[in-house]
Amino acid sequence: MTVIKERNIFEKIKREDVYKKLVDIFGSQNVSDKDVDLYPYSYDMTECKPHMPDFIVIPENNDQLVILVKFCNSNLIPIVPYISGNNVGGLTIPEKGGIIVDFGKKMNRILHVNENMMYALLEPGVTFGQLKKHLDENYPNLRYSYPFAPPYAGVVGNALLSGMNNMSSKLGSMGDSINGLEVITSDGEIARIGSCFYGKDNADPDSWWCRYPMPDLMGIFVNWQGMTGLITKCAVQLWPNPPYKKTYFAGVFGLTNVATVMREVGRTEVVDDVSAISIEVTKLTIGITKPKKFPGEPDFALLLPISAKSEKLFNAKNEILLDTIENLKNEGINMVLLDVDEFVKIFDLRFRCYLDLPAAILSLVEYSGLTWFGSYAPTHKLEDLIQKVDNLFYKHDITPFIYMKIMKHSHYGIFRPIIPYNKFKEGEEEKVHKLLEEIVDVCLDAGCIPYKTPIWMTEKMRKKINEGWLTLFDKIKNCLDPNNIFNPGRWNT
Amino acid sequence: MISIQDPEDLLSIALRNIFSSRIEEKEFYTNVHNWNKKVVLDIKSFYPLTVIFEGDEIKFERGEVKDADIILRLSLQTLLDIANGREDPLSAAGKGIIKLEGLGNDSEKLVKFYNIFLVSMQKAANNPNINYYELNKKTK
Repeated sequence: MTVIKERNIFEKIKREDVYKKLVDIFGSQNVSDKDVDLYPYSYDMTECKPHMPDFIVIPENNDQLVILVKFCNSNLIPIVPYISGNNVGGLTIPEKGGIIVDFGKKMNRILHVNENMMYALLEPGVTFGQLKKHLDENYPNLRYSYPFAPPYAGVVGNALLSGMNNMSSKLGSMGDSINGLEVITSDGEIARIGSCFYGKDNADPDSWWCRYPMPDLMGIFVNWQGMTGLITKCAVQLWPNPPYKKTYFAGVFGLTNVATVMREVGRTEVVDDVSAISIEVTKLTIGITKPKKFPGEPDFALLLPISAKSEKLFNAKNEILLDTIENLKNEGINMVLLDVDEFVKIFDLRFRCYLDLPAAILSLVEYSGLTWFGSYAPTHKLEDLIQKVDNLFYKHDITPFIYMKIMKHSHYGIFRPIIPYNKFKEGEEEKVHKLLEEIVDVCLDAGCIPYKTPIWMTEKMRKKINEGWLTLFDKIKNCLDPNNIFNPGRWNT
Repeated sequence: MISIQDPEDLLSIALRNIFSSRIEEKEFYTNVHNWNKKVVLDIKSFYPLTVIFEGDEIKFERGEVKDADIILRLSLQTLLDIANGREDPLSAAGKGIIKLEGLGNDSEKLVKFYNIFLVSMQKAANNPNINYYELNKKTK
């Protein structure tokens, strides 16, 4: 593990001098050190231990941020980037105190959309709701892809942390869909990565179209949880918004049969997405707070959207999907397949929150707390994972909430047990954490790789990761951030 | 006013949803009020469910009661086909894809069953408004 001395962040400079400098840079309206302002940044939905920042700042431009980074680097003051605090991993809890840089308030502009090469250039604070509205109103022929996240969650954070989306069966990780980044490194230099690297001073807004074939420096920022630099611009790919669309709802009977269905449907290459949730979650969605599964009900609900540019193509995709389902049924898998628009009208319209993304999904946001083990998973082990994790939920008397996805036509999958809970009920956090820890142990043993990882989880991972990787990781971190000012503590740095 | 039990299983939840949309309709009240019948819905692949009409109450019981007045057996897809007008209930019965027991020659029972179940499903299926929160501004 990287050994960093515990430090007093005001060892080199007095607290009041830091405040004065921050006011000089950002203006007094955009800086605070008051507890009442700092408190909301000290915790998130998870059971991760809260920690107060010392200051928050609201930046407007790169010039301010360059001065800030240089100042923090000379004075060894931590910087924690923040968008809307919706991650489920304690990622913006300032473990070592320091300065929260809140991008969500002012650096939230959609800077450019290139309709031809289909990308959007964004500042870090742009939200899913904002991007969707902008595209719907101005570029209806283009679409972005959305995760099961509320409209106020950040696009850039999700892409940088390899989140998923409702086209994941086709596209895979959102990290793969980044065309370019602008980043401020610890010495205050601004680097542009990707095809936007041409241009000595500024980049042409139409030059953010690709990340290859130069050495792919993006890898030293993607998935690093803000530990290697401060991202100030990000170009994300957009896709054609085809006119023919339909989503199927499938109810799959038999706890582990869903894994076969997901893999087979993913391999057809005709669906945009394959996502599955425990059947109990459909009940959580309509307000049943402690739902049970009854005999005779399906174990999992699947959503299978298809889309196409022409009716002919749509019909062909539809036929392939229906044939695949029919074959699975003939092989003995019991399932029902329905048009989801028809299903929700009969079942409950609130289920639409899974379709009309981005959306505030009731089962995720209704409670004060939410935690999970969100991981990339080997799809051939899904059966084993489902069985073991379902047992753990029942052992702890907590409603099973397993969310899964197929990524890139079944090359890999997502396995994500989720636990909504009451943060303010005594003993609840300890109870869910105990379950989560047991889930983590089972899943790491199966080779799952968590993303948006809290510190206690990376500590467990480090025990399993090869020494060469850990050494290289530390070398890169130390090289890019020798004073450990960028989001220190993440990945146990 | 008809009161409908808050159920916890999928099929009852769906039926509650369907019936609730008509709860303020006079015609629905007239049909349900004192009907005092037990109707079994047996959806293929799922489980049988008994819907109990008692006074002004609608209740649900998982399983098939022995003293059911009406039993309807069909698949979920057929139910949606009928609700969405792709399948005519009579011809579906003729084709054997729905099985209906217990109606005999009781035309009043038939009319009430038709109105309470099929008309309600058709109304839910054909509702053009798909926004729950627009429909339920008072509650959410």
